[in-house]
Amino acid sequence: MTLETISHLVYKGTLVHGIIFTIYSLIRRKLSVANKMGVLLLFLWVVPAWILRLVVAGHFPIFGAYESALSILFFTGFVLFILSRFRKEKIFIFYPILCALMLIHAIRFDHSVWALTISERSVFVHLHAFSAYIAFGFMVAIFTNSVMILFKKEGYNLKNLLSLFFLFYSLTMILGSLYRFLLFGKSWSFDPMETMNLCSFLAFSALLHFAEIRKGDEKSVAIYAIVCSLLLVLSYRLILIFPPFSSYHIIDISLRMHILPK
Amino acid sequence: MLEKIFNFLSTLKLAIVLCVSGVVFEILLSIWGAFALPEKVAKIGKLSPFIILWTCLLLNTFFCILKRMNGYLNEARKKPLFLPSNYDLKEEFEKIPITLQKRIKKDLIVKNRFYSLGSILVHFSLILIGLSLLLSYFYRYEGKFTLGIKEESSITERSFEKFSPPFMLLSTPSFNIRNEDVVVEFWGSELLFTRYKSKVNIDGKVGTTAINSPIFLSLFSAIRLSSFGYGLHYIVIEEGKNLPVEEGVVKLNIFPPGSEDNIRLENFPHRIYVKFYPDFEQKDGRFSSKSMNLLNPRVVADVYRGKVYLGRRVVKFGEPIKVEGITLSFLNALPTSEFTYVFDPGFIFLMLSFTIGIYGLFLKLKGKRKELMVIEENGKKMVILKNWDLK
Repeated sequence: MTLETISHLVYKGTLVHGIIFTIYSLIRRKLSVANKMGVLLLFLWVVPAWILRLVVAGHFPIFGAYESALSILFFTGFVLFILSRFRKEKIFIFYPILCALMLIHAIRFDHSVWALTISERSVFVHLHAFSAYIAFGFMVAIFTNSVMILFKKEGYNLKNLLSLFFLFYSLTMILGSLYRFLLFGKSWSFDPMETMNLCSFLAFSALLHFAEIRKGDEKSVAIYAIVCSLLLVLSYRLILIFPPFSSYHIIDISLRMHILPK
Repeated sequence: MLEKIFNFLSTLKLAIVLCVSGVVFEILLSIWGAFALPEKVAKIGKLSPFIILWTCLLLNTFFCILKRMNGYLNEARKKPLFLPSNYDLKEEFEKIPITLQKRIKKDLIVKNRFYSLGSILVHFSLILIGLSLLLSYFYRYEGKFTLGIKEESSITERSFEKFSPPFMLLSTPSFNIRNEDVVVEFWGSELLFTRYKSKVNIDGKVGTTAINSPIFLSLFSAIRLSSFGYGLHYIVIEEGKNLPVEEGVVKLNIFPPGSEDNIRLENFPHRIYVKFYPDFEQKDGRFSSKSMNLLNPRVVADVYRGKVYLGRRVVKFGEPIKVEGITLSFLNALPTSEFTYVFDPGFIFLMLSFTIGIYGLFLKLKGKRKELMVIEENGKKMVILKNWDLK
């Protein structure tokens, strides 16, 4: 059994446990249980899966549908963990279901180890990906708190989360723009990936201003925050169904792997 | 009337409406992006509805800053802005958390006073971004040229093989460049570059450029590798003569394998259409390349004299192609590098705008301006707070 096989098995194990922990949390119907399941899933499965993939691939596992799903979960988990040290909310409650959904989708894609293309071998593209994943983590925190606000649970609020998300998301766009200039000599294009993320950026900008106008109306802000979060998920993952010619983000991938599910 | 327009253009509600409109516009553009080529999508993205939207957004941003500038600058002052009259909480000193008690060294504490400056910087950076992109739109241009290994050239705008002229030509390139070395590696047998670098000498300075690593010639201009190719070294010998009548290295668009280009002989009426396979194999009558490495190179040559087709030959390096009294041989394939020269005065201002914007966001991270004042009331030491979270 090769290390690559073990890595893929651990990946599948993470998926299975994501499903099991989700079902268990739903059966127990307690936020504290769901929260604990999320933390356990992060440290017992997601982190080892990520580290194994890192060792097997020989590079940060952040490219392609299969690897990026794992990295999104890894970075999201750590963002939620750090937030849980400073905030009192049970912030891991949706983490098991997030793992399950992301990995159910991603496991259908090629898990072969491929070398990084030249355009993927850059400090800037790595920083761009890391800041995107960290921003995603804050988005999950925003989504979690927003849902809990709608369910009128005590202790949940969006304070500071929007600012933190916006900082990392802006950093993602900036690093992307910088890297695009280094790669193509242009700092912006009409690549659908960039267009969709500009769309999300504008949506969250509107949310920030909306929150400013509607101070005290947490419910309205929470609803809008949930909509923006779903838009962001689409921005990150919908690109996988776009044709290769439409986006440079896919061309590289299609050079070395099939992007359609097996 | 002007005041009404100003008030309308500087509202947060208008900002929200414009942002949401932007969301809709960008979703539509993304859908187009799934069905149309990037060039067409770019044309759609530059249509007037989009231009009007971005203009309105920038105007709204500008007027918002203008309207709130005094208030924001006021919030940055050291002296109390809210206290002592406008407070959220008044409490006895001993009843506030001990951690806060220990931090109170003076009668007045003002925290996060640069929060509002962060707002100014973030919004100001958006205007700068718009201006930078406008600068790029009017003055940016790029030109491509190809150099073989050890080839040298003096580059001006006339040297470019492909040139995308700007609206207004602000500056023209003028430099000497020599392609010292090309390093190219592929992943296994795939058309996948794992390494592609070119060492160049530009006006005496040696540097290395790659596809994602341009060499900046100035604040506004850069050169980077943009494509890879081969040049074929060929000779032509006339029947009955020993020495070549014609010899040259021709830069061709014959990469990736299967791409076709042609050579027009200078001294003869023949045109040769060539395809190049670095690691040739033939299966079911079809030609292909097992890998990108020069392991078993072959040239597939279709020879024409005018419109008359004279036949196809598949040859190794050095193998002669005899046709109508001439012998043509391909001796070698030399790697060539396509370079792109980019002049973009907007880029550096864009990066500056981004830096200002990010700094502004950092300033806003800690939260709004907080004030704390220690007063004496009826002989008791009291603390009054504004925007201070005691939890």
